[in-house]
Amino acid sequence: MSSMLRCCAPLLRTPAIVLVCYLLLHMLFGSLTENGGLITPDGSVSLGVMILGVFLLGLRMAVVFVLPAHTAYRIAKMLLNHP
Amino acid sequence: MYGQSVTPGVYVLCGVTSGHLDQLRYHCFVKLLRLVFPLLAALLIARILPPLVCGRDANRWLRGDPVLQQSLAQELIAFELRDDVARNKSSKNRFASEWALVTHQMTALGLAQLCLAHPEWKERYVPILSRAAQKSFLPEMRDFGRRAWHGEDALESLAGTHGHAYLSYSALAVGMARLLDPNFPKSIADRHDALIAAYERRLLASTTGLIETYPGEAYPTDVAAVAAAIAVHGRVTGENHHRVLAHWAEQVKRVQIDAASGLVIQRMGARSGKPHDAPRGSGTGLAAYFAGFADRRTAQLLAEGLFKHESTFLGFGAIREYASGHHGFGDVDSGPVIFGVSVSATGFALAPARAFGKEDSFERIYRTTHLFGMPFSWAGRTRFTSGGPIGNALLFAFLTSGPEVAP
Repeated sequence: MSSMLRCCAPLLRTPAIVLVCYLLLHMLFGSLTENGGLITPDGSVSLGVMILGVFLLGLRMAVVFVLPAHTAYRIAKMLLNHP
Repeated sequence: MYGQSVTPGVYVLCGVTSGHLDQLRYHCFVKLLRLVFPLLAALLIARILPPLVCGRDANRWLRGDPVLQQSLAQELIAFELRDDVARNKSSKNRFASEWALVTHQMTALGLAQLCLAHPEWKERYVPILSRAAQKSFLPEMRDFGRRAWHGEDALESLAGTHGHAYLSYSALAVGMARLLDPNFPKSIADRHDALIAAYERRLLASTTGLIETYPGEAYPTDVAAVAAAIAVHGRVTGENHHRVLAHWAEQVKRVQIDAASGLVIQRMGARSGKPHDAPRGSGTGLAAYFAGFADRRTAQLLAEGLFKHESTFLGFGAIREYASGHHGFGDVDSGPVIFGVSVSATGFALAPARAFGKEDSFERIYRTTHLFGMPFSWAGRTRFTSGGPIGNALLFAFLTSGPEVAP
């Protein structure tokens, strides 16, 4: 069991790093959007916030859809190959 | 039987025994398992986890969880307080125009809905909602309308025949503020009375149940807001507006709803009733919310039409912007239209879904709202970071919709 966990650990390292990066960026974006979101209250576009927001949205899609599925794929593959 | 059918004579001739074949079958099975099982695990996780993560608050919003409601309310209250400070400081760079009008209006409506659902919160929220409603009524908020009508101000031309339906958004907020605030300023209440009287007269005179927002253009959604403002005024003053509301409801069914799709036509000729645009989800969603203040059955009819256009994928729901046979790109009403579904129609649909107990649709649509809205909670406040103040104010009103609906 412990050897299996040891095998799983490297597989979880990258997803954990991506997740932490996402959470930090989300906090940063959250603090930047107190007065406006992807578009400011008067309807104009704040370019810097917009770029960060679009990047964060892409990362969010990856974190919600791709990362868990990819991790599950790799863990299942590793379990089947485990001696 | 199975073994016999797959063991060709040629293997026997080559010296391959049945033991070898069993081993071969076993290896093939293991190889297949190693290929298929991880894929199945990935697909299963992709199907289960995202809806679970994005929909974890859906049920709490549906049931009116006070913690969630107050955390979004706190965000909008903080915005209103910052806006008050900026308004007092400088006459320049004031938050004004159409977006500001809607932000203050929806904040006032959301807080009013909370007060109707939780009368014990009135003391805390009524002064703020009343102030937000009054701000939506300020002259600078309707500059865009004045420009569109070549300098004619909505409140300076009440005896005229021009619709100025855009100001019904403020009128609805002011009506809800008057309903809850016993100290609402009389001078604004008098102007509100006069505006409602003008709307009633104009709507009764219209054979299509439409009045103009801008010259030559009527939006059934804006007229639904007019009906809502008139209905709430009746609740405040006790005046009987039954005739005009019945006339409006009749014309919505007869003229404004596209029979084939159940969606309202986005833009029409006020006098002719001719479509100037397609039947669309964004207009129908917001019209269903406004119609709820005036006439429950009309709101339900609009909601039925709207939810026929829900698209679902992996447990996420969104509303298609255009009725079948119509196509278009996004505009200021719909926001971006991606794969046929629109941001606005999807957000607007939360209100009728909650108000009329369409729990499954609410949950699916909330998941999409959560995914793209990117909510962020900090120090007892929650905001949907991608939408900014206007997005928060709209979602606040829609996620607390229900108590305002006419019996």
